[in-house]
Amino acid sequence: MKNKQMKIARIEHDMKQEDLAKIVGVTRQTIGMIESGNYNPTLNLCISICKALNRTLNELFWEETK
Amino acid sequence: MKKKFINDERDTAQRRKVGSETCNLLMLGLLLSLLIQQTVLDAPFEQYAAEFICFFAGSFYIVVRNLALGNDFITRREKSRKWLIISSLVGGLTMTALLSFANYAEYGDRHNFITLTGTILIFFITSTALMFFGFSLLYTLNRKKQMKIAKKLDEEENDLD
Repeated sequence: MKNKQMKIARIEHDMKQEDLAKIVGVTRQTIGMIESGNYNPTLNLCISICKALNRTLNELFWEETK
Repeated sequence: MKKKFINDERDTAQRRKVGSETCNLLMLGLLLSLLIQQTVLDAPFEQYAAEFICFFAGSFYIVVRNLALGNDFITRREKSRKWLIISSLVGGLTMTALLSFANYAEYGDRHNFITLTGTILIFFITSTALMFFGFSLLYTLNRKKQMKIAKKLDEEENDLD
């Protein structure tokens, strides 16, 4: 499933995938795959992304069930 | 009672790590076996053909799979062109050393200083050129794949649909 919350947070921070990738120490491809839901990141990477985007884990990685 | 299927991610990750370590050890063992049989034992090719095929087929598989998956293993390095030249030189020197050693063991009694130096020089030039060609091909294929991935990422970068 696509991670739109993360993409929106990144755009709100006026960041490109490449910028976020550099901050958290991964490749741009990894960020792209997380956003498109094709890669399941480790908890450590999730935390790094949250810190870089100034969001909580819940805000970026929690999916509300209907 | 129905048995519950357990999918423990820690267990899976550690099994994969053990598998990867085994593969690395096996490749190292194959390479050592090849080099020892070729240089120290002076064995005929038929004797180490299986190791030769397994080692190069394994290396080929590793490179092709990484390329297909889009793992950037060359251009991510900051000075990738420098990497290309250094790898070609190191590969060329290694091949020259192996070929010269084998050549000297076979025809050492027929060589004088000039013919030996000439032979080593020819080995070095051809080996380095061959390595450069091989690494350039790898470099180009990897670069093309990375550009294709970058283009796809550019299209999706700000697309919220």
